[in-house]
Amino acid sequence: MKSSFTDTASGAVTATDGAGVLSAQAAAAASRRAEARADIARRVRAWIIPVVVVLVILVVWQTLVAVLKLQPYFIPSPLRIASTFKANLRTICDNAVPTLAQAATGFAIGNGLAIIMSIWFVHVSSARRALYPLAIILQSIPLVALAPIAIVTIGNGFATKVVMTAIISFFPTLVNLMRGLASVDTNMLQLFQSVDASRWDVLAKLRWPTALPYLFAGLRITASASMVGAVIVEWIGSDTGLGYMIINSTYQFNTPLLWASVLATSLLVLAVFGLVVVVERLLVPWSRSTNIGA
Amino acid sequence: MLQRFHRSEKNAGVGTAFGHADPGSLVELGDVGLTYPTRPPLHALEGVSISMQQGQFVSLIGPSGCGKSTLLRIVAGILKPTEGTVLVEGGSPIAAQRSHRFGFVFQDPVLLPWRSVQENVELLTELVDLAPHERHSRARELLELVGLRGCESFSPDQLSGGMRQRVSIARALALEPAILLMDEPFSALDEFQRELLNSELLRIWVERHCSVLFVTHHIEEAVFLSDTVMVMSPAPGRIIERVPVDLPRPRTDAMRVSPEFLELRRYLREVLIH
Repeated sequence: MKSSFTDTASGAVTATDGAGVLSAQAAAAASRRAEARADIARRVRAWIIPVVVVLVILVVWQTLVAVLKLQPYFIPSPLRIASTFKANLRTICDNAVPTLAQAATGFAIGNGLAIIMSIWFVHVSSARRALYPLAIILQSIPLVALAPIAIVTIGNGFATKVVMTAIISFFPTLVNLMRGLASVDTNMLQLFQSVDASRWDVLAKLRWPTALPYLFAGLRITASASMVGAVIVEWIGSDTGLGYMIINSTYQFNTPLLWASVLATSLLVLAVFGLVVVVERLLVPWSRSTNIGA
Repeated sequence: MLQRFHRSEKNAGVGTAFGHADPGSLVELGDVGLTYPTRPPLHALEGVSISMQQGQFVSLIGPSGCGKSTLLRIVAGILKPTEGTVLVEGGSPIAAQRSHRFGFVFQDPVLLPWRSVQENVELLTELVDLAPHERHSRARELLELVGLRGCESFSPDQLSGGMRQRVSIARALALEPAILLMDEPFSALDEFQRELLNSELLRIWVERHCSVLFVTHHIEEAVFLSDTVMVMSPAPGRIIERVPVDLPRPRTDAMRVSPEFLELRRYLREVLIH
């Protein structure tokens, strides 16, 4: 071996032994640490402004309600909503469980089917040509229009709600994943084909990892959509769940409880969304550099 | 231990099986043409004949859109010509591809971001089910060859463009190909990186005793690297000039400003412009 060269982003380090490589490694590690610090500072800055804005809105809201002497059944103050939330925490939790359960079941079924279908579509072009347009058309039917049909045909139970949330979860993931599985680099595919790689290897080692950021873009959408879908289905026909609480407190003119239920729903949606983001960071650490749909 | 397939043995066998083929000839293109059946027909390549010998470094140079990358893909068996014959080591390009005689390096390094540098180099050996210890040791050896010892566990996005292209060269060599097919591999790099990698490529070429078919639109690079520079015309692509580069080897950076070098560069420039 004559000499080795290591070119770093900042220029070139020429070395006659491994020392240059080692110093390049140290430099890379140091720059990564500096980057991590800058990243934290950026994130803190990104959080401060929205938090301040929300606080200001809450203070103005509280003041307006007090000054204008607005009745709680019309618009409750933030503190009133908070105390109602606290007083009814037990009821809220009891109702959150069925909503979460049906959203999670529908989410799992819908996304599972979407994953299977998109892999099938990518490999069997006749299946894709026959069914994909149909899927796009079905996607355009609004959920609120579909819910009564599902209730009439399947009934008013858990199954209907799961079917509805599954349908909601299915399409965004299908569309995203199809795009992801097809988005492999042509040259990379040629490289796989040049060694006669099996379809399984192409899927497992190329298509699937390439598509993971797209899959998570779909999961992020469907995580919150399945929660919203579950709540909507509960409005139309249910005697339990957060959707039921929202409708029931409206009928009873219990406006503080209505707001508390809405608050609980949005907190849950945020939590579910956050969970998907955390899982994505763990499973797809390279996707932050690709940044698809983010 | 990397040179397991001894090339001269293999070629002797091929030479006797295909009596008409020159035993030393690595790539033979006879009157190759490619016409796309559009209306009107699109002539991409016309009457291209190339004979490339074992161990040679040959560059294809031409204006963009002249079909030089297309020609590279025809040699690789990825595209089929509509006219003419293609022989690689006396057989079909497909057969050569099946027995892993080609190593590909593209303009973009196309590394898999979820794999470490070492795992990227191991990709092809993994796909052909080479034993794990064998592919690990090969990858380490190749990373050392391309000057990336110590970077095995890095992820590709921690590397500079030049380093990524080195990884891609190491990956291309992992199956011990007879011929490296390189499609403008350094055109995304700055001049400094390009010259550095030019010298590195020549060192690798000598150490690995392979042959290189190199597509570029960079005149100086073609002169510096090649034994022969094939100049192509604008579409439909034809070989309009074969320019032997008789600069001594090993080539050094000092040669880039020698009168012979500059004369070759001037001459190629003239051929390309007219």
